[in-house]
Amino acid sequence: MRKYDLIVVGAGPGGSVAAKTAAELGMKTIMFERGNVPGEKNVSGTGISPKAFRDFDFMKKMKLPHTRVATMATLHLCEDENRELASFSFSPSARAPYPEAREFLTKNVYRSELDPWLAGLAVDAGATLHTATKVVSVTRSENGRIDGVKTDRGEEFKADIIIGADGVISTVARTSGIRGKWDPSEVAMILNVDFGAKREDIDLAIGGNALHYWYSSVFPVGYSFFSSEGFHVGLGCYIDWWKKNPHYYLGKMFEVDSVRRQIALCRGEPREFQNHMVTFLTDPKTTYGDSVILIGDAAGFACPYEAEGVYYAMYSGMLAAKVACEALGEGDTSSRFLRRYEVAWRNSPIGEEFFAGKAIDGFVRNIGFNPEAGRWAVPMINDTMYGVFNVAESHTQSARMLAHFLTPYLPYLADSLSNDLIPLALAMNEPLSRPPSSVIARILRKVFPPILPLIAKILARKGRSRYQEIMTPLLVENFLKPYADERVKVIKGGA
Amino acid sequence: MDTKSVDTKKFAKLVFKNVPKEDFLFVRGELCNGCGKCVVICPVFAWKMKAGKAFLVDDYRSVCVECGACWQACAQGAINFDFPSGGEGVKVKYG
Repeated sequence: MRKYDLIVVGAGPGGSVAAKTAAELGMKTIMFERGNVPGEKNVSGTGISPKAFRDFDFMKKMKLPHTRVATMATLHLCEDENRELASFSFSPSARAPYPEAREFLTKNVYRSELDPWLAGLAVDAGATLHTATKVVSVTRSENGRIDGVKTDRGEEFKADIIIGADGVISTVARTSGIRGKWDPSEVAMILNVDFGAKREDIDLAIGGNALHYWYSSVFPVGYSFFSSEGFHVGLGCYIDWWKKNPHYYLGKMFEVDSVRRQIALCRGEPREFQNHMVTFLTDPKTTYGDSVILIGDAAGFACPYEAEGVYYAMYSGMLAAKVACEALGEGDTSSRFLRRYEVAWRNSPIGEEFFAGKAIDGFVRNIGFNPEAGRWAVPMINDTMYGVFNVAESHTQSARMLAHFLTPYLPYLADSLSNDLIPLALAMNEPLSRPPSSVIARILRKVFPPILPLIAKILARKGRSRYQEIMTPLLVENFLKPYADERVKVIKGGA
Repeated sequence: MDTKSVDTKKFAKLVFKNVPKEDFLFVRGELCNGCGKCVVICPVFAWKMKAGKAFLVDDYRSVCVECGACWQACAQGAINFDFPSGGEGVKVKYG
């Protein structure tokens, strides 16, 4: 039996940053990894966000052989028959708030290279790393307090604090009783195929346009992700979503021209099949207990929008190590003291990400991750782009046609606006502690109700009689009333 | 790769691993209600249905990618998932 200040279970990016930070603060730290090398059990080929390079100085030294810097991302939209109707791209904005964000969207790396490098930094800082060692449970002292972990080699290690950095299926979280398994609606399964390719082929076919998303009404959100000499093609959705085997949907994705074209142009050869789970929470639940702190995926810190997890794992690891150090200094490792960890992450970029968690989750579930929404959203976006850019008619005529084109989608759009998009915009823009300006609310409540039915009436006069009977009540009931009620509630609550 | 017609199921075999010596997935037949969620969700076809109950294929240890989706999907709590012992199981090369 060996005694440490801190045990970190899991040597992913979160665990390694926690161990590195703790060792630098002078704590006697040990880290356990069930793979033979860190990264061996991780499949989330990773686009590291600029945030990680902004917040961690050591990331500036990252030099991994298969990095590809993504300076552009492309969204592809497919309709009912699985035909791609539209696509558009974006790149970093010159107005982005810090240099890394202006330079790139993500740095795409393989976890099989990132994780060993980060674990090496922790070891260099003085942490001990045990690989090929699975932690089977936490251990308890005679008075029932958690005091260490037991490994599958039958050894016990003791420490004052245990950091659970052991992913979605966290042994530490479950054996310490902090939580059970997640609800199937809170976890998504993401499967992908890794292709090997020559660097020059990818450079020519893809270049920096190294992140692609497919939004479809046939399969859940798909993606391709390019590193320097290979790429992933995959898709994913909530555990409770799948009606058919994932290969049915993956097969549908491989039927899309642009997917096939990427593979063919890069001359990709399939190398590896990968599958993993990520959490999609509106808000993380309990993230600490007596002598235990959970970080990264174990705590449910994947961002609720596109499941970015590495940065949040790293950041929470850093915070957890700092709180653990304070707790040891004060000689208090109770959950009452470790509540400081929750306060810390709530007031960090992690808490910010979950600030609008419920609204983001609603948007992702109802539109972003919902192939049903693709049935109207995809043709609507395409019709808009067509209306603006087509040369089949004079531009005057096209502009007139645009409104005509978009009319059939308005009921769906109004529904999404009232249920998802407006709550999302409100939740992101206005911290609830600060009530919104009552002047703006008053104007909105005055202006919108008479105007929207009027627009509906005008459109209806253009020979669309059913439009009015569908649209007017829809707009008033779904869009205006809840919007106005919500405003009143917020204003009253704030006053 | 020929991209004209792709059977993605054959990709599921592209897994590098050190086949675990011991079982790490278990099903408790008495709790299984035969809903089939594990069979539907498993992307490496480690589950089959027989007589209204889910059971693991014989060589599941050599195909399983340790994602835990079956365990997560099972509302009955009939599936017990544990990671293979340290150093065993999947070795992701390009993840």
